[in-house]
Amino acid sequence: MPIHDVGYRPWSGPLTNNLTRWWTITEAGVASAFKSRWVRRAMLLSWLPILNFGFAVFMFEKMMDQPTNEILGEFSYQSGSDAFEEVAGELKDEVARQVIAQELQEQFAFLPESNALVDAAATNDNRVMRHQVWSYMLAMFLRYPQGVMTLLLVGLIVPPLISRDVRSRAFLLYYSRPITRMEYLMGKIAIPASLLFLITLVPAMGLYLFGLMLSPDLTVIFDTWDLPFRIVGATAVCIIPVCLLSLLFSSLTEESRFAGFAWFAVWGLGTVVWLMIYIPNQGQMMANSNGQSVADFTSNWSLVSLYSTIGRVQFWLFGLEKDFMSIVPSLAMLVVMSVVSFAWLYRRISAPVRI
Amino acid sequence: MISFEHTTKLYKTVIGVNDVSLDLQPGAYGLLGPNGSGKTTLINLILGQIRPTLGTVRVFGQNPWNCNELLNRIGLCPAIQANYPFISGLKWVTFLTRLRGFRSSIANEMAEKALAIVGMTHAMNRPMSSYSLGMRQRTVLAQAISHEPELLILDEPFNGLDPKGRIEMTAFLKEWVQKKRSLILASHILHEVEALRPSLLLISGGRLLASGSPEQVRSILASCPNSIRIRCDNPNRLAALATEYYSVNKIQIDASAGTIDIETLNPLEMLTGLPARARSAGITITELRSTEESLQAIFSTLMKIHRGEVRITG
Repeated sequence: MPIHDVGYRPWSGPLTNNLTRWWTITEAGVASAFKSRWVRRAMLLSWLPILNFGFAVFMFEKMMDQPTNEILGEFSYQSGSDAFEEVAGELKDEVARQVIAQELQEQFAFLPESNALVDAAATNDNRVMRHQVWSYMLAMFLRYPQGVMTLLLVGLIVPPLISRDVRSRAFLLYYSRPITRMEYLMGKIAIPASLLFLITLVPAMGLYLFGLMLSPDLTVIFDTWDLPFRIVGATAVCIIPVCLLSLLFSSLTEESRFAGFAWFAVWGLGTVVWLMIYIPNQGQMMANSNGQSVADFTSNWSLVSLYSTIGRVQFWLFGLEKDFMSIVPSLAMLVVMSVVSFAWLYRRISAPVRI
Repeated sequence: MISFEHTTKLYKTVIGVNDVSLDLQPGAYGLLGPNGSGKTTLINLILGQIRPTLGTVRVFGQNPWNCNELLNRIGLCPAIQANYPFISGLKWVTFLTRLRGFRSSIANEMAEKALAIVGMTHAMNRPMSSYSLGMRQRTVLAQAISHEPELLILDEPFNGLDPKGRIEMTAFLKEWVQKKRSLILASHILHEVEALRPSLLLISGGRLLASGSPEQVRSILASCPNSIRIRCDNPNRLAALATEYYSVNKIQIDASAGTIDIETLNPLEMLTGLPARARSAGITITELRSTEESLQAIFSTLMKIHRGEVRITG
């Protein structure tokens, strides 16, 4: 009679790839975040500004598509010679660009950088102007509405992500599985990163595609081909330091509310201090002959605000800030902050087994 | 199954495990030691979470350090309070099973099965915040067994359980052992571990002080200087008998409570002989026990033996 082996038999079925196992943590985290009604509301709210910016792009493209005479209305002239005709035509185009820029500026008058739209009209080329206006729209979209939503969403989602594991000593559960500390960290970082992608990268790309769809011809793609890359860069500049810093706060405490408080304090207090320095000097920068040194002074102080620091680098990526050297301190600050946060975070999540 | 060869783990200047050598064959083991004795360090060495400073560790013939393949043969039930308010027990166990590499649908089936084994089917879809302490403990156990490990490691699994929960946990672990699966149960309470009749590993100060069956451990205790409490109807007369026939270090009589505490160098002889002499003298003994039966007493005795302060008699 054959004797059957009824002892332990290891699993012989298929297993998922080791390289993507961290995604399980992300998936569960994102699903868990979406269970919160507030997160769902915040996500919905964060998509609303796209309507305003989308409308502005629509208006811009519509006006650019109109004949100059229609834009200028009753403006007319009597031609004398070919040379005059040529000069008058160029002048008309320039005036038309200024009219378009002013229309847009009126729509975005509440933004401090709306003068950049008038500057864009100073160019001699409609294609260059289109690039500048689109860059402006995307930069403002990421900087203001999405910047504020980033602050809120991170404050809602991130604080409990690691602090809950610290409190319940769940690290032992993770590490008793084929998951390394780095994979655990990747899984956790990808949770806020995925959600922030959904409110920054995805709508910004949507805005860009929306612009393309409204374009008169395919040449627009050649005019603006670099913008998707700039969008990716600008969202990465925001998401990487924000995720690492907020997760670091979460890992430092067992109480998620303290992590949340630290997050809002760093973001909010820094911005308040920056505004207290910036607003009184704004007028002086415009009027004073010594305006440049005041601008340097306020630029240096922008480092006190994480929001302002990220914003300056984003502006440079979209070409609104021309001088690379002026944003080097901000860039260096973000790099240092990210590296230190990552190292510290890694140490924190390794600590439970280091004892 | 597991072998430690002169294994030492230092945390800077703190010794976690000190020169431990042992060879464990498949079976059930009770890892006993007071808090801070090195139990968790030993478990982390087995799981490959930490590397020994000196010596080697082999688990199923492999070096466990960074060995992912090995981790799927082991289930860990750590001493944690799993409390994820918005997640149901089923989702939590499924998630942790998926982390082992099982596909979502398979992991879900495995989790359901494990939760059924620990008697949590009725509550598995409820949020974990609504679970009692015992239910959470059972859910933690379910995540450890969901992938049907070859070796189950439990760290203080009885913590927070009510008597019913303890009985159920013991019954489950007995069944596990009967299925010829391996088990390491870390605890600081002797009688909880004894019920499973495992081989005992006694660890203190990072050193493996003794190993053997529960009977062998008890015989060590009985053979060492010990304090015995006797409750009877005539404590003064019994005290006289004890001092007349046995080597007594110290005796303390509480006539109102009817008890005598006797410290003797030869407890085994007294425990076996004194009841008969009392009966002959017409004394009724209602209670006879060692007052130092706790695990700490065993460890203090073992430490005395290691230091050469006492010798085992009998």
